[in-house]
Amino acid sequence: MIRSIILERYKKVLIAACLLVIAICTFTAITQNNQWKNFYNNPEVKAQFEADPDSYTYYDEEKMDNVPYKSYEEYRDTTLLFYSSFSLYNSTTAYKTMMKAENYSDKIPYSASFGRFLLGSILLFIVPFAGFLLFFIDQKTGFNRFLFSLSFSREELFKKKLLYVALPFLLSILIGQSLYALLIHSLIPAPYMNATLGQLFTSVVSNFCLLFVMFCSSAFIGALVGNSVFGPLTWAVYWWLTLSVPSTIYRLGNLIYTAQNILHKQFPETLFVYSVGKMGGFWWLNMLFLLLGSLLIFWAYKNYQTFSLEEDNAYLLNKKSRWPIWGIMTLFTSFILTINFFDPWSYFLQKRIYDHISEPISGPIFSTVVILLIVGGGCLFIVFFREITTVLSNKFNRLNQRVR
Amino acid sequence: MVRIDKNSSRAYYEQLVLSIKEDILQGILQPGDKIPSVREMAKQLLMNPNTISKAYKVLETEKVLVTVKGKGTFVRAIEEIPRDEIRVQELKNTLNELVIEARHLQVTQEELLQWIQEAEKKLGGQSS
Amino acid sequence: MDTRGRKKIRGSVILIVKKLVKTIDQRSILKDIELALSDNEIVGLVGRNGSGKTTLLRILAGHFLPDSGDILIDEKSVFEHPAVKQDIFFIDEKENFLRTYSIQKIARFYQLAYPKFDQSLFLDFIEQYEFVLNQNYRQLSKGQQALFQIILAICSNAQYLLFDEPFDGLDVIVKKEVIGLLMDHLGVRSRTALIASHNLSELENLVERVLLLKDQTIIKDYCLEDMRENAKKLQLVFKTKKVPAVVKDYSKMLDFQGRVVTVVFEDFSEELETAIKEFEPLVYEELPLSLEDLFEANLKQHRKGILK
Repeated sequence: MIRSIILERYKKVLIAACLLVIAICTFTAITQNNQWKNFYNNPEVKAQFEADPDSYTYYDEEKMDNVPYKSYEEYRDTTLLFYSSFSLYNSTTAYKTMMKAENYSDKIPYSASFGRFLLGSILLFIVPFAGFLLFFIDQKTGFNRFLFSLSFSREELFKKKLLYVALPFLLSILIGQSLYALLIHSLIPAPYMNATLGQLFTSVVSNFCLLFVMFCSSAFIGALVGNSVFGPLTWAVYWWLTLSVPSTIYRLGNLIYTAQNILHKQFPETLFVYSVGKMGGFWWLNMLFLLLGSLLIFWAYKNYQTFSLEEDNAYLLNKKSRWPIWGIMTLFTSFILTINFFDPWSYFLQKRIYDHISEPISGPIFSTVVILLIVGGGCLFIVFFREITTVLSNKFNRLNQRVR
Repeated sequence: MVRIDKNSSRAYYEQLVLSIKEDILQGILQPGDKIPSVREMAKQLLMNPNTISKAYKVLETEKVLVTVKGKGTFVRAIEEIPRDEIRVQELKNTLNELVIEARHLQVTQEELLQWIQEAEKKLGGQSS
Repeated sequence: MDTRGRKKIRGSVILIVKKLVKTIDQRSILKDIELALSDNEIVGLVGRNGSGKTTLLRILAGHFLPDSGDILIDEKSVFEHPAVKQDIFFIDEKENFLRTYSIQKIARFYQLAYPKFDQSLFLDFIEQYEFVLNQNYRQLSKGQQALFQIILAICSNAQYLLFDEPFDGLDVIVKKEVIGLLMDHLGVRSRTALIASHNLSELENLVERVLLLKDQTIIKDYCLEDMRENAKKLQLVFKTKKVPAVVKDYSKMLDFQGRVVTVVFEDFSEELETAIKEFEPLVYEELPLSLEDLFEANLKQHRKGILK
């Protein structure tokens, strides 16, 4: 019974992981609520405000200047709104309307005013990490040797692993986040809770799809790499790069706007729902995430059936995947590095559009190509490490023999 | 006791057969004695049980051992063993060949007879 | 493949390996491996270091996938009908997963993995050999670990038990226990064991058949009892320094020192004896033939002059 074997090995860890996820979600709701209630009830806050009311200001778009709040109540009501946004609207009437619970715009990046970092961050690490370990652990502890000698096909092993370990874990995320939504919605009173339950649940779905694709891509990496050092290292670098994906996409969006001469608008940072809140994401992006995640899992599935354990410490367990993986690694890394870190195109476009100076396009093209080459070369070295060292050592041996 | 000589060019099962026969002739194994089972023998001697099983089968065919179902394998009582005339004839033929070889090697009749006596001595009392 | 001295296969042929090929890191490890194992036999797998014995066992167990070829049990390919693998048992020494678990947990895994696992027999063994169930595997001594692996193999009730150097590094006392336990069990049920080992003198007592692995393929399949009866190891000294053709053609050289040649005839006959004696050798001595001799005769590479 594969199920019994998998459960025998993973039951405790799985239960712990699921409980951890649900605990994190619950804990976040409680903490945020505490912080909010603290602000709401704390007499010191009011005292501080009344001691120096003019220092508490907000940026008024119409007056184009910082303006102090008219009263403590106004200050409190603005700041206590659970979901706010650092966008260009800010305390204007338009903003106030949009911030109402029943209103929603998919162009406003809502974020929680309290405990913002808690919910998203921890899960954004734990979920992909669990994904990475899903198949990597078995390979590195020699459990695969045991599994492959059993009277089950590799297909069954893979599927059952997904069914009995991955699925419960993913479900626990869904449950945890839904629990969070319910809790926070009931704990924070209206009108301060300016998100409806419907909006929150839409957010849960989008957040889940995001975590799903992170989980699947990490599982994909964990199933394909074999080296004890470079495997986890690859995942770590991948994870770090993935965290930069939203800002990369937004930058790219702004670049495209700039290039199209749309200068007054910012690209809305509402695509990626990394924590549950008022922001609901987009159904088409969710579909894309689900599809991408599933495709990667399928690729891992195909790989699982044909890799042979003598490749145990090689970088990639399956030789056939080397060139495709190299391609993906190079493109993905170069894309993020180019747009998000080195950003040669911003400078080029800024000069062109804002300063009307015609910079040669060869500049950014050159930078992009250089980045591609360096990243490509680096990835080539990592992916084909064994082959390179074998060829080099053969040449070295032959040289030695000739010398003798 | 039952022992395998690795330096002999005889098949192991043959050596076992001869060894058990020798034990019987020397009185170490008496008629009616229970012999260790194939399993036990294999474990004792650290030998392939199939080899031992083969030896036992041969001994049963030669009516040296008898297996009682549920009870075990025993040494057959001598009175029960009639002379196997076919094998006696084979033995005679082998003896003829030996004599020829001995002549060829310039071994005298007296030497041969002496050897037979020495071998008999080693086997001890049991005459039939 | 040379099957000299090989009797007709007893019983029904159940495990067949067909044309197995395996290359690792661009080196050919196994090429065209063909073998057949029937039930109720103990077979030795023998070859020089690095000849591919362990690789072959790992392929049979499913750890490595062959480049081509097939493994059939009861005419069913293990690749298409993985269910038949419940009749194969193999523990690789690099089986790290065992180290992190207790004996009880490991047994539980194997009980789940092998439908025919005999739980009560397992508990009997544990008691008999004084194991403690919640002991960690890595706390056991090497001898105890070897004993435990044999116990698992026996209790799995798999038909084909594969062993890779099972007696390696064990002290004399525990080695006898391990061998005794294995022989005892193999005597009870008609199981088949394939034992890869370097300890030929030990193997000799245990196996009735030996497969010799050389040049990535199985070159010899001996039935040992037949070899003991039909093969001969002779020490010869001829009048001339030249060794007669009849010896060169029909035997394998083990050793030569000056005029004294030690050879192995795998298929000796009276005609050969007569032919040799026609040359009136000064020395014609029959020496006992061991498995080591067969090994050396087939696998030693002869350099001119100095022997390796």
